[in-house]
Amino acid sequence: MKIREIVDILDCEVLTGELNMDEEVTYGYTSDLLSEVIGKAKADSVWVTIQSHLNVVAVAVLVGIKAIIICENKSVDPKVVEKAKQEGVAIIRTKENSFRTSGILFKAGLK
Amino acid sequence: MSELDILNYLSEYKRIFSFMTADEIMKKDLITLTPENKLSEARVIMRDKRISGIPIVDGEGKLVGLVSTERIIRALEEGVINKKVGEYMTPLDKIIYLEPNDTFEKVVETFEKYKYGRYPVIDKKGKLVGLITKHDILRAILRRLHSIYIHDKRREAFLSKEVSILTGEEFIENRASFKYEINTSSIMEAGEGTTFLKKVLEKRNYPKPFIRRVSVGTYEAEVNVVIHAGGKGLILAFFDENSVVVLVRDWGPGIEDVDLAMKEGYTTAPDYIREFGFGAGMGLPNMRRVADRLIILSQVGKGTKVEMVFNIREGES
Repeated sequence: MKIREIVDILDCEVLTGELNMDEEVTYGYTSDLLSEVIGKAKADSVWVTIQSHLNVVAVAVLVGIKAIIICENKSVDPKVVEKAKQEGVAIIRTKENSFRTSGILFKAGLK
Repeated sequence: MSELDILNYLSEYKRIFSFMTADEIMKKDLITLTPENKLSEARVIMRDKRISGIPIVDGEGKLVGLVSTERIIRALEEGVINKKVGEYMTPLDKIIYLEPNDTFEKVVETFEKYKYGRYPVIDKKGKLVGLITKHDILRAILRRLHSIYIHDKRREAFLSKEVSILTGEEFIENRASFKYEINTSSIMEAGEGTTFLKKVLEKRNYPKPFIRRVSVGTYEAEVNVVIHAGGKGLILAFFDENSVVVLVRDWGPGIEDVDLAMKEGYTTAPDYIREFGFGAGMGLPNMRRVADRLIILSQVGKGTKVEMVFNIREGES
């Protein structure tokens, strides 16, 4: 599904503008441990996490993750948003927790 | 690391490698001479090829003797360097040799028992089929193993020298295809070197899944430098058509127990690092999974050196 569709079904805000909104993703991965993500998440996926620091962008780039969904309304440093734009990773933020967010995405068809 | 040290080290692992035979260990591409050659010819070959012994074979390829550098030195002293090899070689009945089916244990025991530098391998008909030096044993193990961790004082020789244990080649910094100096104490900035490396690999059109593996391994090594080694280190990468070798080096405190560090979930990362999602004890296991060959050399107080070889796997291109 398109990342735009994900944004539509979540109660969320997009911090990186139009970036990647028309990209197709097939998979999702939920974890706050960076090594788990880098080791196990698939390319062309979205990543659900509560981590919101600069290094999540690096991890996303290395894995080929198209969008990071930051849960629990965690604050995101403008530097992180800037870096994400530079590297071509969308950042989406939601009030929901990781469990509920993952559930919604799973129901919507992400694998 | 002297050859003897290597051997002592390996003898502890005899049982683990019991599945290997002399046939797998020996080098098969051999330089040989015949009894009719002169000692002076043996001397030139030893010098130019940097080998310490030459097997002597007859016209049918059967082993008849061996000439070592010690023999050549004596021949020079005795003034017989222009004589024929056949007269001065160690004859077959005085040579300790191995057979292709001999076990790893037998090979190592032979080295321990006789203290020679090399043992010819001959088949049932007496034909020379290979030669084993201590170096060949080490190579065979590295070929066979996915990874090896050397973590005691014998690492020092390798840690202080920039030589690849996996490929035997010297790491010459200015010949590296990629170089990045890690210099940040901020964990948030860890991974920048890897991000650069990934972009360079993409420009060179390496296959995507391959780049992913190289990136994952390098990232974990880079993060470790920032978490554990004060953030100062070096990433070197050497590109080849079908492979990439990555070296991540630091001069930090070193790893106390590499075996323990390799265990999934084991971590020595401080709490504040873990809060950011690092230090889950997955770093080294991740490296082991993505690299085709991995060596971690570490000594307390001397730093850590991670060497990874990535080969483009079938199905990746």
